[in-house]
Amino acid sequence: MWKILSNGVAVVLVLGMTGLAGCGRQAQEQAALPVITAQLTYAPQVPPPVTRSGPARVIVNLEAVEQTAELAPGVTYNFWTYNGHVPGPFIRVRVGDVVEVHLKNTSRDKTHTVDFHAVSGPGGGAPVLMANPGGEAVASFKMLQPGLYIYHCAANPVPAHIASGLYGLLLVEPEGGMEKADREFYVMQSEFYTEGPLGQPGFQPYSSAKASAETPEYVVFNGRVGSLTGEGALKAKVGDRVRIFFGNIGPNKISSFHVIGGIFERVYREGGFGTPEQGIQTTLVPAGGAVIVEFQPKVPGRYTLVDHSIFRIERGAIGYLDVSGPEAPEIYRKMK
Amino acid sequence: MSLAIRSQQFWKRGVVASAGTMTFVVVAILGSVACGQKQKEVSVQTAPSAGTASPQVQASETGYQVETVSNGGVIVGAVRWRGPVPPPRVVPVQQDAQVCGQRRVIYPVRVVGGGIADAVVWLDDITHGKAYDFPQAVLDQKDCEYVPHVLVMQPGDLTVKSSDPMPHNVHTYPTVNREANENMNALVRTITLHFGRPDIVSVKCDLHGWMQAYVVVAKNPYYAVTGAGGRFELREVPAGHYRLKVWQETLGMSEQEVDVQPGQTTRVEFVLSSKGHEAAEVH
Repeated sequence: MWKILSNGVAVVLVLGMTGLAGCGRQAQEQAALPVITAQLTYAPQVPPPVTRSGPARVIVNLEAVEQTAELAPGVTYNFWTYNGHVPGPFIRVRVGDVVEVHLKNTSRDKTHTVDFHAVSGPGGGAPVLMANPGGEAVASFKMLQPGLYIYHCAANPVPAHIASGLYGLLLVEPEGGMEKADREFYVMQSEFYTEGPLGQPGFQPYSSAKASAETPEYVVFNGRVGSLTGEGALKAKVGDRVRIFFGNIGPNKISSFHVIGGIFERVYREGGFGTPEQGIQTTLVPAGGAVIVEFQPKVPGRYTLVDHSIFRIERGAIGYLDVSGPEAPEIYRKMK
Repeated sequence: MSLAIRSQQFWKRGVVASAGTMTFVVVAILGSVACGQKQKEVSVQTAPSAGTASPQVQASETGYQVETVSNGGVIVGAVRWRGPVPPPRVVPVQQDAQVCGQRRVIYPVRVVGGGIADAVVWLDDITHGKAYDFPQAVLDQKDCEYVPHVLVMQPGDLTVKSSDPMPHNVHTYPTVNREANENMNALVRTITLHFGRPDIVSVKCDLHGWMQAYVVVAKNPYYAVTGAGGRFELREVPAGHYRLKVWQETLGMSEQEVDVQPGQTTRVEFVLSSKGHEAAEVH
């Protein structure tokens, strides 16, 4: 029988059987992975580093929830959230992991999904995670490339879903993990387009017109004005290696991320794990992008996180890192 | 791709292949393309584009034959409401209130003059009769609501417009037609959706959640949307015995039988309530 087959058909068979065997092997490998549920944290907290030496199947449970909450003192807004938080949870995995996402949609009238920038494939997974009102979608994705990635809703109309709060960060650690840091923080910048002007009290509806004109009323860190000030200020000690996972969802503006009083000793530009840049004062973070910055405060006191498009501090883009510890007059001293 | 081409060439050559060989080839092709493709196939099913159903499909789906109707009858009736009118739901507007207003009032049943407006009445089992005579199917988005709220159309194309200054998306939830989810904005003022098969299609906006319309794709021309007083009329009905159905978005479906005499007017009344539906007498 084989003799009458052309070479072409033989190639088909060989390649096909190889493909089938490869498929089976991949399925077996994935089935053999340990299954763990992701430890999710909310800004500014970051999950602990991945200590596994090999990949796992990581279950990530997300729930799209709409809720009205405070955007600024006395100002409320209808947020669309993952798991009731803006930004959504920080997801931490390692390269090679298979992330199994369970998205429940509690909305009664809106479809939601997730576009993971960490996913290789159409829509970053959004088409297969589309969950109708009251529905649930489940899909899995292999993490192929280490980096710090944005995720966000991509249901129509996408800009409005992003502008309403559906976004977060996913870190894919490289094999072998990252160097130890003493403090890790999750900070995400975003804009809000309210019908009322900045500071107008009361409930403020979302404004499609302002979003389209790219004229935000609020530019904030971690979902609201004042999230990183007062009781929310970040804390560290002199000498700590501080690592900030910083994301900028936009949806329109580029961030010029800067820490007043700090020099970034390492910048993993745009979230990639190439050789980090050193001695950076301000790093540009595109809308829909992220960066990892590290520095070691050597002098106690208050360090201020800003978008150095500086008028945005008046719209909410300001936070504090309070550093405690011994004075260092050899570095920083008032003379008169 | 190269595998598929090679296998086609194989069949064209007419090579004598045993069943066992064919099985191998099928397995080979499946093995080469199926691995890891399952989710993408699902995505195609859940987020397809509209406009692919063919007219041939609709003809076979409806089975309705157009013929000249001479001395047809008329069905005149009303869909009445019994009981206290269900209270409307007031929805605070959380997006684009400057255009949409501060709140929207949603009526689960729109009772006007003692009858239910925006119900759909149709002859369910009529197989032949007049040609479709519905106006062109156009659904507008105006002041953050769909106009009309309930639209009856023949199988085919639906034109969706937006008269609003802000974006909307048109998300359809059909039963047998293809789902669509299309953005509309200042640059996309009109789109066309195709519904080739009889259906009741819910239409929503995923930005302005209160926006809701229903598109009823008719399997024959004997459909009517009720107006004030719940009144409706079906004309040029061939004499015969039919099942007359009524559907309303929150009350569901009900039916009764009706006899139509040549040249005669048959009067029909449905009485619906929130506890259930009753078919009233045929006069």
